[in-house]
Amino acid sequence: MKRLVISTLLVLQVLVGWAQTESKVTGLVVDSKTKQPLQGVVVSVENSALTTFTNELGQFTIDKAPVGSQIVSVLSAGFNRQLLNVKIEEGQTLDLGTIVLTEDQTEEQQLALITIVENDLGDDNSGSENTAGLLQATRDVYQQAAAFNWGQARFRIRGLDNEYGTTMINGVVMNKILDGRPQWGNWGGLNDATRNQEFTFGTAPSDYTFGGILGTQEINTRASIYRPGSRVSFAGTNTNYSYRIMGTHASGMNKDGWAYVVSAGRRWATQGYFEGTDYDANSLFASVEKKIGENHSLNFTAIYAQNKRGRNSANTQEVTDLAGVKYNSWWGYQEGERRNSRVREVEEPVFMLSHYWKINDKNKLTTNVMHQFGKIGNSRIDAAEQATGIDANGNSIGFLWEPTYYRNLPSYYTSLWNLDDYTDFQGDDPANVALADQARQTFLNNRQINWDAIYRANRSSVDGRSNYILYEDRTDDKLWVANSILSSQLSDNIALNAGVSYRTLRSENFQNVLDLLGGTYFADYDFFFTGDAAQPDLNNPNRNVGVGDRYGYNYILRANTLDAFTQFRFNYRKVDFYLAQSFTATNYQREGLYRNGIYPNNSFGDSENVDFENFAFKGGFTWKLTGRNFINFNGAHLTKAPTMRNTFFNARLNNNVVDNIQSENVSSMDLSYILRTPTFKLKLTGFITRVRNATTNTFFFADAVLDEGGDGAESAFVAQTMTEVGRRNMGLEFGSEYQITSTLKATVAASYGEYIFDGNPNLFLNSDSTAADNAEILNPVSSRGKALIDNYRQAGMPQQAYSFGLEYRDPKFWWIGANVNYLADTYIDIAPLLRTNDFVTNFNDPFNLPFPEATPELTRELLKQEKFDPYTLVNLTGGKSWRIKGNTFGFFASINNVFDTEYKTGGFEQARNANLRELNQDVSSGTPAFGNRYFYGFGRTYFINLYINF
Amino acid sequence: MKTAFKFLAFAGLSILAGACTQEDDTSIPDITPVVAFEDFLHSADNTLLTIDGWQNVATAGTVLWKQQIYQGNGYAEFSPFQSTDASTIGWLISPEIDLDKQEGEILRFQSSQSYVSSAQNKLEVFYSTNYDGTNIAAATWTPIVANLPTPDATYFEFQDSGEISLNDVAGKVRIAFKYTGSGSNSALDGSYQIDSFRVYYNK
Repeated sequence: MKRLVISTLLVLQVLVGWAQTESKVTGLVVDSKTKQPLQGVVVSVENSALTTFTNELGQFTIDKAPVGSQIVSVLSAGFNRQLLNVKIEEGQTLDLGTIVLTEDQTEEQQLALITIVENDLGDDNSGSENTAGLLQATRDVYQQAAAFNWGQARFRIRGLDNEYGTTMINGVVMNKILDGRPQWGNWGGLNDATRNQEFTFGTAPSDYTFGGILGTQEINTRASIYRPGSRVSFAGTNTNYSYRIMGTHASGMNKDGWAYVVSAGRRWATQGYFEGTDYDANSLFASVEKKIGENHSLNFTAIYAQNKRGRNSANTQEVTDLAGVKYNSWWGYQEGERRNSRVREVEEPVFMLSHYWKINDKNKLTTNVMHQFGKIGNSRIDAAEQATGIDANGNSIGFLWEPTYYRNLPSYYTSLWNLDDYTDFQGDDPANVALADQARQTFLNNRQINWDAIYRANRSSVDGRSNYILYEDRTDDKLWVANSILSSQLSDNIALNAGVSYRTLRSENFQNVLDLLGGTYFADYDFFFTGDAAQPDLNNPNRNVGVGDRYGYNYILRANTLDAFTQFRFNYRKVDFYLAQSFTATNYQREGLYRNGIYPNNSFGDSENVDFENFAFKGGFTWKLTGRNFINFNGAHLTKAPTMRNTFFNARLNNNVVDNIQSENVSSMDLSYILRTPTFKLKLTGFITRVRNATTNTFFFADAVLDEGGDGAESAFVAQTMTEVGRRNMGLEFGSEYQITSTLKATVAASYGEYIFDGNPNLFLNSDSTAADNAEILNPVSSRGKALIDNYRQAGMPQQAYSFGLEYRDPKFWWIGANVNYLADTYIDIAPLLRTNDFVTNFNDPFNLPFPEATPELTRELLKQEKFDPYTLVNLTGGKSWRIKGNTFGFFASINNVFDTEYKTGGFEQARNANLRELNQDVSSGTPAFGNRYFYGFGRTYFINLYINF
Repeated sequence: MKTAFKFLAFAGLSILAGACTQEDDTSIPDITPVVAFEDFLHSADNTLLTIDGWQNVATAGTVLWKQQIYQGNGYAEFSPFQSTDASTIGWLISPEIDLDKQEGEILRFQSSQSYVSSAQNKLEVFYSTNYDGTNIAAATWTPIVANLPTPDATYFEFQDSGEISLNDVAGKVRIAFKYTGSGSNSALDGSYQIDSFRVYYNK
């Protein structure tokens, strides 16, 4: 098809040509399907500053075109880019005739993508680390493979977390201040409305921001830029949700200067891919623009996306062996209905007023005011006191709130050792083997949460006090953002982008009672402690709470950030280069609303103000060797304020700030070779990024880590902070596309990375128990020295990924594609606490000597990082569309993981056995009670979307 | 074009050259190797102490070292109290420890006393490199200077022996704890306790 067009054009080129003094290129661009002219299509001559747009008749003219062999690019959102080889003669007009643009199927693929990126795993109110969402709009072969083929395997570009990318709506940064990650759910289910996207990769310059080192994603919701028309689609899938219905209408600009876009979507499932994962999401979108005079335009955007879904647990091998990969311990039947105890609910509407001011032909200023508010909640069961429950027949069914609680499982018995004499393994004792068999039966018969038993237990309490309740960890944000972005053409070759942005956030965080589960009240009292320490709020001690009441913890985080950036771009015939710099001032403060009994003197009221000032610089160039060969280099160095979550390391309980908290140091460099011809495209990139001085916080249960000199075997909930964390990510990226015939295209993409920890960070533990014993202790943090994690691999993504794809595109508007992917080098998330010197230190030894069994060989074996098996995924995609009476009907279908390969996408070590002896005993029992927990990828899934455009 | 490939080849090679971090390029915590280790928890509380490889021998009287367990912590105790033996000498002898395998060995243990009122009622520590395993009298027992509890020490409060260098001792050594006292003389019937016996060396 394309070849036909090109050859036609080459013939035309000979035929036309008027005697004129300057060279021109003209043409007409139409939609392949509707045959209608396309307006606003970008037509440019590669390697020149010459760019123009088609008018309302689809026509364009490029004046002063450079003489000689050139490549003309024809580009429009939603269509495949056309590259045309042309020969421009001195003083002649080259008419390219009718250029037919075919619809870009990537947009259809995007719709399938979102189902993956939402599947975030975190236990807190933070966003997904997955980078696939960032790449939705990309047209680069490698990046498309990364998003569409490898996204399901949690591939992350350059091994970087989302917090190193910048996601914007109309130039307003949407990354959360709390954790630096965007909350995709805020605009989920509005794919049609958020389709106008620009993506810059790595540290390449963006018009809107300085950006992170991973890249920038800009979603433009200005009403007048949407293609006018309506679209309704209906999708079915077996991933996170079962069905999606979506409708969008864009008016286009009318003669009075009004334009509007409305969109609505709904997604739902009673059970997604994993057991008990229900899904319920509704989204609304509206954008209205009014053009005021020639140079001003006001646009108002409102986005309301509500998303509620049941989450799934990460399971140990033992549990998976007993219950299968789709097993999820977090739900159970209640009166015959499935009910998930871990529901994530996101509801944070966005309102944005944008002012577009065309100061003159060379200067444009965009100003936005944005307000976002709402809530994120993650529910779970709270058990005031640990007790086992009984079923309707009075049989013990173990610990109720969590069927996979370690004491419910057979391994609890088969991994037992005599605690008086740690050398005596008792897991093979006939009594324990019998108990294990019994536990196995009990688990298999009661593998889900028994809501009825929970209700029964609560109802049987003496005075109606619930022992079990359902609560949520809530984050209620109020965010205001104001920003201005200037775009200025300083001269023919020099362009300036500059921006200033102010953000102010008030974030309330608290525990909220959702359901008393049969009781009449719940005591806000921490049974883990006694006396004052058991009181979450000494200002209101011994409170009884009911549905909708706050309890446990309650605090406000405030943040103010001001940032400004400037960027200069220089475009010349042989080389383009840019330089950019930015400054950011950040201020954080916590205000405790409770006076916590463990920290009576530093939990209530305002914390100190924590301030950071950060500078960033970047630069790069594209060296145009020929019209088809390019060398591209980007380099950046910046400092980055730690996220609020990592600054207040025990924010739930007190105002403490990590000692000597520092900004992260981030450096990044990449170098690419790019070859671009009409039939063959190739890009090879080498990159390295280094992060130094990062601070991280995690929470977990650990045994025998906090009790110095005591009996050593106490378990406690600990907050772990690491400072001076270093990471080094480097690797090669390759993407290539070859148009074998006009209908058949082959793509190859590869990523070879090495993402490691660089250096040994300092590790600190916070012990609430220590502070509980002594109110004078304000900051019960103990140093554990260095965590020896240098050269361990970063977790959570395959570090190697390869893809080969073929795509056949029939001129009769149907297409089919297949790709094979090989993914390798995925590692477990290590527990740094196990890599400190304390790991080998015998907690019972008066001389602090190591365990006698701690040989280097055994230590190395126990601390070896688990590497997951590589796997191959095959995906099929296809689609067809019809044109009937001016309307387009079509469908897009995909089958991911055709061969239903079972694979682990990630997992983590449990730090509960925090010393060599306990870990060794647990592991060597053959049935560890605290084995690694794993996340699995989807097996075979399908996605089918039917749509109509009218 | 040629330059471009050179440029790229260089970039690629330098990245690959750097990417040589092997999976076992990780370090493990420093481990002070413990050559001999005994925490004295092997028998039921207040019964005869029996440990594989250790010898529990009386060369005067009939009293032997006993197992004691207090709040889960086991230790060895020698007490002739109410035994009526006029003279009581009890030996607790460690298994052979090979001192030729490493350099700079250190002996360390904890000891305490209860009801000791006289310096004649004593605990001594020795080593021998020629003890044949049966004839205590025929062996050469060299005294070891250690921080041991005196009669005025707090009862049952374990104290650190200090780091005792065995660097100058060669061959296979046995460490012996020797109790001397009397079951009939109330001035000499105090008890001694031993715990946390270690031989280790610093790498």
